Amino acid sequence: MADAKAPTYTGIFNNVRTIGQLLAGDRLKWQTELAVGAPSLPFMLHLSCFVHYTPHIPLLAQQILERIGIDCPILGGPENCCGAIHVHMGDAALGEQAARIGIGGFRRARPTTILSVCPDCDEMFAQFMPKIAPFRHSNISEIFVEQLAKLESIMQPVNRRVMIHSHDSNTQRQRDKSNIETVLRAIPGLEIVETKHAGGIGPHCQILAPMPPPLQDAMFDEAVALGVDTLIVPYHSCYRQHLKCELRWPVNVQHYISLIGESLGLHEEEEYKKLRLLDNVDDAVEMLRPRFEPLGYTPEQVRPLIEWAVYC
Amino acid sequence: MASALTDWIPLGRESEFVSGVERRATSAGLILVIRLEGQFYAFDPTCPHGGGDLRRCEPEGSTISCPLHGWTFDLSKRGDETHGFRGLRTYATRLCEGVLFVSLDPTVNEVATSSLD
Repeated sequence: MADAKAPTYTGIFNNVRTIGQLLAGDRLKWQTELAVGAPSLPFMLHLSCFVHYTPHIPLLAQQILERIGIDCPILGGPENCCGAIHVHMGDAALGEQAARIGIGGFRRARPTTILSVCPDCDEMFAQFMPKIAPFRHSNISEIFVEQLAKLESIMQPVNRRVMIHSHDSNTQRQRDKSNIETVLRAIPGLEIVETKHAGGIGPHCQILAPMPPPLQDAMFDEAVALGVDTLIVPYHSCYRQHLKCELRWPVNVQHYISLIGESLGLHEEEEYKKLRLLDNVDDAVEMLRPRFEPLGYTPEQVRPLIEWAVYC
Repeated sequence: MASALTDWIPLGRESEFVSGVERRATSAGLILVIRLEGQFYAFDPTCPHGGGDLRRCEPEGSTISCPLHGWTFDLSKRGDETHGFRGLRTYATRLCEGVLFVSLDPTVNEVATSSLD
């Protein structure tokens, strides 16, 4: 286990692997690579690196797709990094190499469509996709809209008053915003309020362009003023930045895939949120002790990982 | 049992390998050499996962990690990948009168200890 505080690729990837292992256990199953000549897989869900922190998102995504008849194995983990981490750390060449390796890994599955839940992966793979794309790479929100009739036919009421946090820094994010709103509007009973302060900056929150505290305060103040009970976020990074505000405002923060899941009667525990809302690293370590001790980790090893991944 | 010195290829004086990753050409192609925890290790220049350039590896203890996806190889264990993935091909090294040698024979199992300490 590497020093989680060190700004190395080793530290980042090991943090992702270890926290992912502790939070998801055996529940989340994914392949890291596919053998040449393996059976063709029409759909695959790409599990990006930091989604390991929030395994309820890919678990629910996979179950939602199953409900509408799409069998979607998961391919991912750090072995299929899109290269955004390298770009964020100033290594554009390494980022490009990682993206091209990732695309090559997908090609071996001969898929029709690779689905993504991550805005960084969307942009990196789009940037380095061959001119004649060997498969369709799409944010999962596209499929939800394409399959909306099937989804609508099985959606049950979710009686909530919600505000949608969104990003519109480029056309891909604008498309996600529109898709997410379209699919959420299909959920019976869900009341979506118009807002002035729910827009994020940049492509997503938390890492590259975290929402500044004054804007974040304004968003949650507006939510309370409008009687909103749930803030819906489009991306896992937004989820990680904003969920801690549940400690200060009476507003639930949820990823939009959780809402779709709820409308289909699907539920997955939000382990990352539980750890963060303890608001105490020692308590978070204790919460995870039954999971890390059998794996041979010590509290001293796990504590810096939690500080870095959850209490950052 | 150590093999005859004729099976060993000289890579250079040990002082050339004091820090960082050095690249050397051999009849088997390029290899990389690093000195970790007082010992010299020789290994393939690319990661067996995605072909990442291990000249940019991140060393820690007796391990090196590929910067592309974090595969980590324990050079003290003949290049085993610590997460259980494919291992890295490593080569035996040997110091003799201040010169570092490498053997390309996979059955040879020696790792040179630095005399610079």
